[in-house]
Amino acid sequence: MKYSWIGHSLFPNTSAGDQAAALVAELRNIGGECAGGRCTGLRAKNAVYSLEYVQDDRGFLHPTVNEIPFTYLPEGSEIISVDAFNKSENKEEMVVGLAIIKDVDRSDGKTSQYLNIYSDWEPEFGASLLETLAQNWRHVELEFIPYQLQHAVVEINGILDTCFLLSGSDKNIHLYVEDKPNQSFREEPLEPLFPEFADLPSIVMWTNFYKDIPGTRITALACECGYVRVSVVDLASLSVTFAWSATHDSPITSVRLFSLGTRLQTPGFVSAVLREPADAAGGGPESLHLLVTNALWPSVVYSGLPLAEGEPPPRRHTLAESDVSDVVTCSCVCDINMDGRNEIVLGTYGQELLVYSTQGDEWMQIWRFSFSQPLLAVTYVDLIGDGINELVVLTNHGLHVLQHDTREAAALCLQRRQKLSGLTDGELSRLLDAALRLASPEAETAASDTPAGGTADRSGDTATDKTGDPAGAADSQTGTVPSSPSAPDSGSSDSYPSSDDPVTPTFGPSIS
Amino acid sequence: MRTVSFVGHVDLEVHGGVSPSALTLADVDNDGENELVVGTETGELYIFKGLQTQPLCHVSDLGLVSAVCCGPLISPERNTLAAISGNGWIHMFEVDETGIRQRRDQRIPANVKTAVLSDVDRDGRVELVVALTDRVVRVYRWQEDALRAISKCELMQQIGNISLNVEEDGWPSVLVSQPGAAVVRLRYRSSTAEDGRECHSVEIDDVSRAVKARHNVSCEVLGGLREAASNTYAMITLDGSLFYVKDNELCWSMPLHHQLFCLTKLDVTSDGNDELIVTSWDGHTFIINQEKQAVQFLFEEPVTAFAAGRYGSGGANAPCMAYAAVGKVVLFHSVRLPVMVTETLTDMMEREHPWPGDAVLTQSQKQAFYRWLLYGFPAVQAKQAEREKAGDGGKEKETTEHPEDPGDEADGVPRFQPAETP
Repeated sequence: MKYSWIGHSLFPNTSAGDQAAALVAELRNIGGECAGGRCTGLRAKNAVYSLEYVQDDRGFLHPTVNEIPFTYLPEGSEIISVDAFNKSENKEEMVVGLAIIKDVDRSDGKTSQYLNIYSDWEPEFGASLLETLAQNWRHVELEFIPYQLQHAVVEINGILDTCFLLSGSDKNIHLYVEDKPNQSFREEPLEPLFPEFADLPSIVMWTNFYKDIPGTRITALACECGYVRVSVVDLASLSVTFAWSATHDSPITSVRLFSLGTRLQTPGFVSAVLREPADAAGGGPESLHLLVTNALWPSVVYSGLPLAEGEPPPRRHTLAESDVSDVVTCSCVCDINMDGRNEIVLGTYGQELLVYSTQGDEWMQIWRFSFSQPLLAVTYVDLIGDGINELVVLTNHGLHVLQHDTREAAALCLQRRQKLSGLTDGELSRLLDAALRLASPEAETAASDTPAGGTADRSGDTATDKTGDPAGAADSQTGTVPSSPSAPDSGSSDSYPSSDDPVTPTFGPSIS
Repeated sequence: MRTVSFVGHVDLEVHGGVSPSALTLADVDNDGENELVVGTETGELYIFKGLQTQPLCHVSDLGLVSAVCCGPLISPERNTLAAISGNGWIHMFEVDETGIRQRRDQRIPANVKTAVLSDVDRDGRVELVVALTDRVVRVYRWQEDALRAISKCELMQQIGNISLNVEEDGWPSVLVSQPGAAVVRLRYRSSTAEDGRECHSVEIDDVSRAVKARHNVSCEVLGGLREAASNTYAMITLDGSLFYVKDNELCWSMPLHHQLFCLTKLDVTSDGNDELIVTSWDGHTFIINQEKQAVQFLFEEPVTAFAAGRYGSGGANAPCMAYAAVGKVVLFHSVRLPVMVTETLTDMMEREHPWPGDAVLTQSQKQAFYRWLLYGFPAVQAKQAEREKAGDGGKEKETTEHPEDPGDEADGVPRFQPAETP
């Protein structure tokens, strides 16, 4: 699987030449199925577009782009940042936040800023999700110029809730939580919930959370002056247990915390037929890395971040030639070549996409790709909904979707499907069928969760923490494989209580 | 319709406007790689080679260049470049590594609109076929160190363009487009009479099959599509329709909603079949294969002339598209598409690698399964490999259990529950 791509370019509005400068910054997957396809919000000067892929009766895909008719985006206003999350784990309950500046072009410089929040408090029957959403609008007036808009899950009065975090020109981060009785959002004091955002030297350009370690939240933040800080927050006491910082000479465009290995929960019906549960092979926590993209200098990766007092300082790797094609405007950490390890994808204003991979101890550039416009945002999501991710790149003149060559991906799928033991395809499918019938409720939830889990860090995070990690921890303690080969009866009855059927002699006890 | 974007391009500065037929891609200097030839309305002729932005050759004062063409007109071994000006001069050049030489200038009737070089009467010698703005198609052949007219054919209406085609019997023909989506077919025959004089005849048929939408709309025709059945041609009209006619039957048509002025062919998917390239005055370019699957590309400037073909940039001829805009020609030098239409991975798996599991799993389960195969599978592999490396017992048996597996691949692969448990 190398880098061969099928490119799609989408111009939200082909007639608007002046739109070029207007598509300014950020793209984020809203996540979730809507109207048969996934949708991505991207913003123009004061319009938000959604993109979905529609399959025709011959099975070919056709991209369609629609403007989402968000209310209260007045003439002369400009969207600065956009964020979205799904409030509910099992149904669509989307919340979209848009930070806007009104009257950008006023000569006296007196602008006003708002955080517009759209949410479907009262879903109408029959209307499309996005349309209903776009009409239900609440707003918060802002005293400062908004920067990055983020969301995070916090516990308020014992209830988990998702809140918005907005960085502002007043060198502070502001926290907005839903005020359910009043059906509005209100600003809450930040410090009790997010102690890591105290003492900021300048405007925060970017924040990034890492939540895969249970009981802690690791927060990376980058400031306009080049200051980077990684804080480890103990979620039980809500206090910063350790902080590490570094200073760069130029403004920082983004920071991302990541581990090298990828995490993807095995679908229930697959793990049922696997000899050993794949998720149980968690091992200890992987070492954490931090990507820092610089505006002027080469971007840097800090490997092996210290997470407690006394740990050695991180190793600093410079991403070679990451400064040659203008400012690195955006970044993404993803497993782009499907080798189970994360790669770094950088998008530059110099119309290039750069991909770095670890080779031994070094980060090497393994691929670069040119675009016809400067890049503004990049993400790697399953936009089409067929299991494989697409590389979605926002340029200042449209959105490009790079689809992996499906033929190559299919060949890889086939190869790995065949590698799944020496079973033939027929036996494999019989096993899957049996597993499905036995564990249908589990398989259902797994199947519906897994595609969503890869799309965005929405509520799925908590679910992963609860289910995946205890198993992994247990496994790492015992150091053995706690699964059916050694104890077939107990193993199978644990996972599948309904399995009372006689056992086929050929394929293990749990499968009938 | 999917929109594609092509990145690699060079901007070539030219002086003066470019007529629709005064832009061509051909091997002018006989080195096996194609060059770009541009003639302008101010009498300049440029030859660009490779990715150089400076022209290889530049000739001035040729009058209003209305058509250029290149082929073995004078001698069968080497290509000659012919630049035809609207006031009735044909300038013939020979180009080699030392430079450009004027072979001959000759006067022909004025108002030539477009020209093609081909052996239209199957006599083994190349003819120059020109269409004039006064409804005439003339054929010339190089004889005794000059071009001699061998045929003149006057048509009923204004000529849109001329295109070469091959008929069912293998005989070449010239298709002439007429207003209102009409096509006239010209078939030339040459024979030698008893007294040694050559006789030339032309058969004229109206082969229009496309729906005549509007009577006066100008249109363009294109024949000679590679891998299409012979006797197939495509046609565009200025009011935005594309017709594909096969065996005298309208096969399909497609509304494209732009003022279309140029229809060419190019194999952009490298599958051996020509795709149709349709360009509008406002820069919208549609690439349509012969199965009516289309993608579009937007060149964001008004276009005065367009050419698609193969161009030598760095060693070999690659598919390329050239747009003449105001004061420049923009050459996209590597125009390649992996596929015309896109499919989902799940559909591709079902079609290419079917297995009984297709019937067992639901669509969302298939998606989850393939997603896990692509993104979750290698992690399992790596972890198992680590564990095996760490000398964890209970794993070595597997390789012996499955001796048929290739050793290196069998390691670290998640397995299904084996028949016998240890």
